[in-house]
Amino acid sequence: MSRLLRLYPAAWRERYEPELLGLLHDRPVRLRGSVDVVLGAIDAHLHPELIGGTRQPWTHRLPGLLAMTAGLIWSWFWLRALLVAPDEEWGDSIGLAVMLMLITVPGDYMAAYGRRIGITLAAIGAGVFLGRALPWSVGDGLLNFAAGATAWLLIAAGMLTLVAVRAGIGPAARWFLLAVALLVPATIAIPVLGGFGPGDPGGAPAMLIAVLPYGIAWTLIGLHMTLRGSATIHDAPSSPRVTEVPAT
Amino acid sequence: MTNALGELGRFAEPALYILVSLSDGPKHGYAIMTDVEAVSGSPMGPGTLYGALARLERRGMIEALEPEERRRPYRLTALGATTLQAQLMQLNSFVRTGLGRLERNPS
Repeated sequence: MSRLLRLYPAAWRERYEPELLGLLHDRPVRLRGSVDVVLGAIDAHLHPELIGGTRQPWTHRLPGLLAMTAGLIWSWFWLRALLVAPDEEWGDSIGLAVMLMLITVPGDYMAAYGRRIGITLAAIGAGVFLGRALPWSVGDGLLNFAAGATAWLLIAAGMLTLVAVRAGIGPAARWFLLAVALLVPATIAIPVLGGFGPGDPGGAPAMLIAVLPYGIAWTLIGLHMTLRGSATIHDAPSSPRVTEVPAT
Repeated sequence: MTNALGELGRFAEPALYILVSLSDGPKHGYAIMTDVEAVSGSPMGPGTLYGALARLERRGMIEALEPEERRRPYRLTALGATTLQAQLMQLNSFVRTGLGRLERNPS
């Protein structure tokens, strides 16, 4: 139960954690109480002014809300398309999710991170190239499938890296996210989807394994960004556009 | 509901319970929780309790005392007592009005 208190902001924990730990020790909570603690943590993030912090303008939470919405649309669409209504039109939903994912990372922040963002965009570009050009030139079969899968992986990994950088998530955690949301699911699902393993090729379960963790990852990163307020150009490290203004 | 508590939104009711609980002397979190549960008949979660405590403390209606081990007692301030009194008088007036109308026009 005490692990739930890690959801609270650091300043809040410094002030209230010892007594709340004592309270939870005296009176352990069950599911309802745990939900109440989680809601309290969300409230503490949304109201840092209660413990001497500064409340952020709502615009700082906008990128997080967009990322969270994109993740929810992505997850909802795939669940619906694969399990509920496989025959319905679905392109608009995915298009909307991808558009929200892209505008989550505004230009000025990307400029501040220079090389890392450039490499990520290059990976996305390579993915688009592989996905659009190469498969047409190599025809059907294993190479075509491998190129298409690699393309989607590169695009998805690039976008996830972008939003993770935007959310202020460190390199180790970013690699962990990539592994959990993309690499491991892809390793499990791609052989099945390509007809190289047991199971029904193209089956809904394998596709869900491949795509659902990605939507969940976006939703959680979006929630994280929304609660803490996304970093701005002013707190980007080594920002080339931040200059000291001499006192007058 | 007076503005002082009304502006606390969903924490207004828990805050009122906490002020009532502290009106007979300082209490720490656990004692407030059990007292509120006895008075209101429904439990108050830890997240709600500390969300309301933080708001009341920031508005100067309660103040934290020196901690006793892991327990930190809180007490009502003069502003908190005034706010509570105004709130209870308003509720009292509301209750008397409602009961009076019921007596005059029982259905």
